Amino acid sequence: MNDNKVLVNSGSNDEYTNNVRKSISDTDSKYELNPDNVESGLAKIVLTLVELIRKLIDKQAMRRVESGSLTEDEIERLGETLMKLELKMDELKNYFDLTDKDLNINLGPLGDLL
Amino acid sequence: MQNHLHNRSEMSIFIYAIILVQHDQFDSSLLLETTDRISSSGVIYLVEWNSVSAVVSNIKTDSLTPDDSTVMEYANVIEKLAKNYDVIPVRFGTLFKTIGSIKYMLKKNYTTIRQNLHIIKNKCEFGLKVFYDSKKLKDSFMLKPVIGQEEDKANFPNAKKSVYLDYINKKMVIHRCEELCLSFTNSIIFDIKECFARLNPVSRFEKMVTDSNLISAVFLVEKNKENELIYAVKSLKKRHSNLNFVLTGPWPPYNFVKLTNQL
Amino acid sequence: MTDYINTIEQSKDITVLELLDRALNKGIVLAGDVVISVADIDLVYIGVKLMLSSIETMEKLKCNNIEADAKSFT
Repeated sequence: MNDNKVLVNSGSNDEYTNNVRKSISDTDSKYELNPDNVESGLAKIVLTLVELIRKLIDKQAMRRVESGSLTEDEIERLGETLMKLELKMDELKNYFDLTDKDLNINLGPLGDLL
Repeated sequence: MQNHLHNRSEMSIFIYAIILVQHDQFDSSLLLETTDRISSSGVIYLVEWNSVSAVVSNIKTDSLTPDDSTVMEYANVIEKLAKNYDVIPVRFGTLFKTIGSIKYMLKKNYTTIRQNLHIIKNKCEFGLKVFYDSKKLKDSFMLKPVIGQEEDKANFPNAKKSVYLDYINKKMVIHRCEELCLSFTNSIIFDIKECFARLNPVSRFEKMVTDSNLISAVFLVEKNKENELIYAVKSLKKRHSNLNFVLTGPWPPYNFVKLTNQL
Repeated sequence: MTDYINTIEQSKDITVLELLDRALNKGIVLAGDVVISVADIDLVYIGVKLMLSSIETMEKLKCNNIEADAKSFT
């Protein structure tokens, strides 16, 4: 392709290329799902969904705390639960040798999952 | 010549795009010399159903390597098609076994294909990316932990030091930071929509894609509106000197085609 | 003079990246007879999308219900 498609760039080219190049090369990983690594591929999908639910619970919890409708005791119990959830998630990630980056699957038209 | 023991699955058909045209009206000289990476024969041809055609070429099934140059070759084909036709790009790497199955697919999805073609008729896509300094933005919010802190000691004189309260505090700072970033992003999107309103675009926005990419947007607009788009982006830059805007295009309508009735 | 040449090169870079971003990720997904793993994964993701929408709806319903028992978190 010979056409230059950049119509406006008010910043530095490096800023652009450094950031977008990274997100594009991440999507190459989806070509690697094959019979050999299908199990860890499944673990990835399952854990990503679990992580999604955990983050939704987190968000909901923060809104509840913000609303001021909880007592300090309740806030503390909430903190304990959320912390334990997060630690459990870290354990699972370690067990399957997955990082936060691995769990963020690109859904194509939907953007990234997390 | 050919090895007659070759596997049944050795050859497949690679689809580039679907267009609205009849066979005898198609100018295939448009596509010469462009596809030796994907198809060793380099020949691109049409598979028709009614008034739509799939633009395809034959390929050795196992030979498709999804690297930069192959993908660019695929994109170049679509680019050339887009100069003369309304094009529905088909996801890179889609292979069919037979011409019959392609016709069947076109027939099964005919209505949706025609609807897609209608939506993109005489239109093209532009991309806008907005970059920011996330650290500067977050610092500007000046957030501090709140719960169980000094201020609260007055209300809760017996408040104990608690690792769980600390945990909630940390999460709360992050949460409020995210909420403030989100409302900042939404205000920029509002401005973008305002500046682009004259072009009456169909638009899609992705928020906070990375630490420095605040917004990634795509627009479907009438062809030949580059000057108005450039003007719109320059006015955005005037309003927000702390952000950087990158406008690219025109592109074939990759982001505005959808086929949902299959699963 | 060097700056001018650098800008042209880097604009080409941006053009290529934007192109790859579109060509690798976008376009319609067809269920062919034989699709390589890329399209298979997309079909899985479409299933995930259905689940996502129902989680989002759940989340909205929960937000509306302010009287919900705080103990549900413990």
